Amino acid sequence: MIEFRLNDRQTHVDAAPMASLASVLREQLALTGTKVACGEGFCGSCTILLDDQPAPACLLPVAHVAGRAVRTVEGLAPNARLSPLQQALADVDAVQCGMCFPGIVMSLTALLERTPRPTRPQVRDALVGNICRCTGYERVVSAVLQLADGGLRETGE
Amino acid sequence: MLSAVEDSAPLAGGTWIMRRRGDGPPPSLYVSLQQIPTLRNLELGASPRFGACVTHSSLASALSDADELAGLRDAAGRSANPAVRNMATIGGGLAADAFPSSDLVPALLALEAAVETAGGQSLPLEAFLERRGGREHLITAVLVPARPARSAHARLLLRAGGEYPVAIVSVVDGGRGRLRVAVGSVTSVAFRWLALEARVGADDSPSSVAAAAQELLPTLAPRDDVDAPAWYRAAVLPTLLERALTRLHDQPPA
Repeated sequence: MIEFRLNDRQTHVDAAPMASLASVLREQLALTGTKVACGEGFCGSCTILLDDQPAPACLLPVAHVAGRAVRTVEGLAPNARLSPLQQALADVDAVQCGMCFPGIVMSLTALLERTPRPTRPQVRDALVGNICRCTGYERVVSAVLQLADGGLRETGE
Repeated sequence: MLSAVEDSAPLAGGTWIMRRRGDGPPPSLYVSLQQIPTLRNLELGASPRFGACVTHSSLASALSDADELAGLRDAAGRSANPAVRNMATIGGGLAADAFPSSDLVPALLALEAAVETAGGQSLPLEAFLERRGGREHLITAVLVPARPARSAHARLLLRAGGEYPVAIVSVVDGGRGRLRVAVGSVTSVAFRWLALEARVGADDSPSSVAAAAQELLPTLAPRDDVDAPAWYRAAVLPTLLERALTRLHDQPPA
């Protein structure tokens, strides 16, 4: 039995220790917001936060989250209220097909928690491991910069 | 436990092992090193010592003020992508077989680093790379014998999207005009380019070193893979060396 905090709740799962956290989240805990595309740590679609730092859930043995805190995209909007970042991305219509987006949101959430007013290069660096194959990143980057600048509304209300 | 269970293997950050690359069946048991705090120790004295389970991101932030180790700092802080850097460890990267595009390996080769294994033995990184693949070495730390005067790291990406570099160059000014050069990702195992160092002697200007590298290119055996053909990896090397040296000369000597 592996115990950890998941989106602010104590959780335990009975899983093989070398199973990836991504597979456990999706198949045992029914949290399918975490996507799995490449399964090799290149694409970033499975990015979650482990003790507040981005980590690729596809390469994370579930045994390694024991006693630690995991946050997934589902944890960002309790009671269906979007986080300011999510709202900013929605406001500028930055969301595309949705495969890469949960990972992008998690990478940017970690960035903004650490660096509330990032520069453009800092935003781009934070997204190095999140590959989008729809259109691009510019709207995403602009939304983050506008949010950090107070240019967008602060909450989802 | 590693010695007690036949065919067991250590597990550090997991970023290589979880991809299950390589030939042959997986080990019967993985022994996680995650709960051993001493493996995460970082000592930044005159002879830095980095525990095997220090992650790339911890290493990069620990070196934030150590400008003479800028080469190693960039290698740790720019490799792969932020999420992988938060998990991938120094020791795991050194133990990964068939990983020619590691950023840390050339950076550490240029620093003349040594690998410390359980039992307290240490061997030069070159010797470790030659013997890699056996399970007899549990890496406990990486040792840098002395801080250089300056250092720099340059990597060539084709897409700047967190992929493996096509070529990597790490250069170190060892003081008193002693240039050390290491190359990653071009050949199947990263190497210290001693022939180039001997040829350039004290003239470490970017253009001279690039010209000397150009002459020595035929002596290399570059590798082919899906990211880039062999000829290309070799062809870009002189330019990448020039970039690394320009970066090196832009820094004031420590």
